[in-house]
Amino acid sequence: MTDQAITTSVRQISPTVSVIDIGGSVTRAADQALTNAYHEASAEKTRAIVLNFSNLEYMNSSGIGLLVTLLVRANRQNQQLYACGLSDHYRDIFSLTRLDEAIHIEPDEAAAIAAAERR
Amino acid sequence: MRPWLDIFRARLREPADLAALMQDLEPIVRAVVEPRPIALWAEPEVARCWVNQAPTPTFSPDDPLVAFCVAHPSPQAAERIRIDSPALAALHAELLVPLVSLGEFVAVIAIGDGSTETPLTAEQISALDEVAGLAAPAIRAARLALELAAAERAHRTSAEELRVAEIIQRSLLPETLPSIDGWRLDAYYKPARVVGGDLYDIIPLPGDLLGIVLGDASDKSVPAALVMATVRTLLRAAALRVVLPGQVLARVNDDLCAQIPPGMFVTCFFAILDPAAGRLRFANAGQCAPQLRGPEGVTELRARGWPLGMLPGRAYDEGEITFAPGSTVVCFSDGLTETHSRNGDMFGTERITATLEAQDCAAELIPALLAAKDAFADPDAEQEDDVTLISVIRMPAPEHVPLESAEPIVLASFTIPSAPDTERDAADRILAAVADLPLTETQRNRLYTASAETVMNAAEHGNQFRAELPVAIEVVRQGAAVQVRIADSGRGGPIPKPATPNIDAKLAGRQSPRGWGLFLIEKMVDQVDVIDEPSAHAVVLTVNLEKSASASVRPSS
Repeated sequence: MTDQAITTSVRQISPTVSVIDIGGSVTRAADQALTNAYHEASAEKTRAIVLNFSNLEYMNSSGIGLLVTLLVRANRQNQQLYACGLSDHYRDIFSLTRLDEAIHIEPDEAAAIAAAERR
Repeated sequence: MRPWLDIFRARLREPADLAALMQDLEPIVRAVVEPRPIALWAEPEVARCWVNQAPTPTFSPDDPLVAFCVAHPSPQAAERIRIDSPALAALHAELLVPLVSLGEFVAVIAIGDGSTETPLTAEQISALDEVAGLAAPAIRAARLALELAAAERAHRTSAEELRVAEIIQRSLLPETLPSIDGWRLDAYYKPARVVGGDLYDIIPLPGDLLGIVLGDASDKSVPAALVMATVRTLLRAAALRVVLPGQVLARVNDDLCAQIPPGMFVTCFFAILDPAAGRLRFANAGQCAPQLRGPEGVTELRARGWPLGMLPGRAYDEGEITFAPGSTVVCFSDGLTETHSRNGDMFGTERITATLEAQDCAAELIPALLAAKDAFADPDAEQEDDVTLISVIRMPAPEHVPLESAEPIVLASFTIPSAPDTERDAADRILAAVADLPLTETQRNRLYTASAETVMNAAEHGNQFRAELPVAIEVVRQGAAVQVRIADSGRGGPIPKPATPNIDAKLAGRQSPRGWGLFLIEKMVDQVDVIDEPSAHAVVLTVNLEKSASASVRPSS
């Protein structure tokens, strides 16, 4: 039985940039955890949030829906979302859904943070 | 004098020993003509056995004195010999005593230097004649015996050398040919003599490429084999460093020019096969052009270039072909084309083309060519030249079985409870059922997502998460495709088709953030079919098997 839960952790990189590490399964059940993580990452001066998917095992259509919700919130706060650590399969899904037009995909965390800092 | 002659005769009965004979002869002659100086003029093999009292001119078989002695094999007063002979002039002799046996010059003994006042007596001359008559055949026989012994030793060494060279050469030829999925490599090698000048090699290269070599040195011998061994080493080294076959040959040519014996050269065909792409890129240094037997007939693989080892700084043309499935490339050395028939015709390249065209099955080409050659060749003639053949076959694709006509094979059939979060287990089991099928990594990941989404829909919408209504899953191999059939009880009615999800609309709040399921399912597989029946509702996901994927499983017929 595969692990069904989402894992999250938040790191403040700078006053304007924070990172949310998202691991495990992102399904409908991840709603609350993801919302909490977003609120933790979103400080007054936050201008960019990096979503680190290095430990992501599984994301279904519900999970995509949650990301869209996250996007809507971030847009309201004028925050840009970045993503890194996506496997080929989920990179593919980001592309098919055009999520990657709204969330900027970077090859790794360092690049994502650098891009986030430039914002 | 008689006693010495008797001793000499006795010596002659013993086994021939040139040195002993000459050493016995000298005192006899000296005794007859004392106090005159004596000298022996003969080829070095004979002359060195006798320490000359007087210096002698260097022996030359072309000197007219040799022919004179053979024509007049009895003692001659030197002053009466009227020939233009440097040796005669240099000998300053009073008398010359030829030693000739069976019409063959053995030696000439020069007696005196003209300083003695009294001439030689008739008795002395007669004695010298008798000694010469005895000595000449004995010396000739002894010299022949020496030559024979030397030749035997040389022959034994030569056979030994050949054996060693053969062992070295065999160790340089590939022991086994690599096996590559979807391809077949065959080779045939038969040297004309013990050691040959042909070379073939199959070189594994980085990137799963394969180097193919067929070469031919300009003669068939130990030196040629050693040159081929050098070429093999140079080719292997260059092929690992340089990407294009023409450049490989250019580099090998330059290296070889620096070290090849003068007058030797090597023709060589070199190609790089990319089995994954089905492409062969090739260059040729004067070797017979290989032939490609493709679906449309036979063509030659032509590329110009000088043989290796002739001149440095040469450039080599390149060519490239793509193998259609079922095609074969055959490389051959000129031992095949130059096979002669009884009436002197050559096998040539046209007969090779005709033989290839006549074959159906790609695998039988080398035996077919050998059979044609044997039928053509003069049965009494020895094989003239090394024969080397290499064939590279791209196996025909497995027969395509149309979807409708194939018998379905059920790979898995199970049910899962209609509850939240059971879709991953279902997807795991579906993937396990197709593990041995030729699916790419991408196809597997996508099938996983599509299956999970479909099962989620069936459990949630179709069965309303009711425990007593399981989701039925069947995984079926249908010809060249795999189908996953996911069925629910149909209670939920047909799945409403929402508007195509649009990220902009969602971000703008015009669409719900959700609703990605069906969209993903359709994107992740090749075909989605919905079967609506009163008591069941099934979604069938179809994924087409790709030929280039891993795991080779023959389709059922």
